[in-house]
Amino acid sequence: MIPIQAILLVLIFILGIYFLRRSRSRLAGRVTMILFILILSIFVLFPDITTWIANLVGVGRGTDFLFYTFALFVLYVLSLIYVRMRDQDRRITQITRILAIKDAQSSGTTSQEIANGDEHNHVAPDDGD
Amino acid sequence: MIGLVIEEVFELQEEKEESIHQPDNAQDFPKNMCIQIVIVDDGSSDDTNSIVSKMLDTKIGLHLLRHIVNLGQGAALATGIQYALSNGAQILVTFDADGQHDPADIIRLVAPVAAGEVDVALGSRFLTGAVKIPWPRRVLLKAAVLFTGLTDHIWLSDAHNGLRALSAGAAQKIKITQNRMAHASEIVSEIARLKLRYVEVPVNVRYTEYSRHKGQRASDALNIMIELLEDRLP
Repeated sequence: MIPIQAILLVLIFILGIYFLRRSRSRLAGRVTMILFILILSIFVLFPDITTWIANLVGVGRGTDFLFYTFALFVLYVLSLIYVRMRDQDRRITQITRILAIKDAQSSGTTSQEIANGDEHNHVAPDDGD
Repeated sequence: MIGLVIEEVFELQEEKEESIHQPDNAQDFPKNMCIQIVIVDDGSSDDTNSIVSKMLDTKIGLHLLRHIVNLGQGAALATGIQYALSNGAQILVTFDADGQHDPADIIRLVAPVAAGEVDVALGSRFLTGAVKIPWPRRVLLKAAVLFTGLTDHIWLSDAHNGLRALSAGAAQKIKITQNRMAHASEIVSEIARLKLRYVEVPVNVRYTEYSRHKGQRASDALNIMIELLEDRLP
């Protein structure tokens, strides 16, 4: 085993344990994570496998194949984060809106309305501030 | 009939307090209409909040809503609209509180909606004839016109004017999901999608140092395009 293999294996192991312990996802997520760690470890131990896959799909070197896969993976993760952020933005908007409407302050009714005896206008009660 | 004017404020300056006020030609409005103002403070500093809070004591028919965090103009409008509708507004007017709009124009926007001729009346600064609009702004605004024309097949003379009047029915149907600047284009898209009846009404726009400082910059056009594209993502 060459030094880089040992370093990578230790890093993969530590990060894998970290994610598995931190993740609150269901079983399926954990199984995927374990499979991912296993595949990475196999690639580190037997780098020739990546070259074999690379040749299968028409890429020259195994390193290039990993590079392309990595790029796609990063894009996928980014899109997941983007969707999450957008959902969170929507939730923040909802909360802020509900609070704003709940705590609305109003200065009573207009003189015109009093003159017309308009009953339709219902003003949200002042929340005491 | 209740008309509600919705204004969004953010980081208001003390001397610009007068940019929020009731139309001074209130006596020209239909007799049975009561006009109230909804101000949405979009998470600005305490200074703005206290300026507006003070106005609650001196003015009548004023409502103050406060976003605890800054969300953007589109979100503030949506909040104001939801509040106005729940308070029984029958006609809603959106109004930029940066001093660029003339409150005297409100009545001309409200008239066709109140008469039931249209669902939405959109203000246009290009219909008034001789208007002094700085040329970079003119180019930008015409680009927006072209954009909404091409995407929504609605050809307006001014696609990004913040002064509009909506019937309660139209306001209920229009969904504003764009929190920031792209809501102006979004409202036009909604008019097209919902096949609402609309009319453009000439309004005055004043370009002051203050409104230019508060208003959109040319670089915002790109941001708006990105916001609109983002919205089309799943």
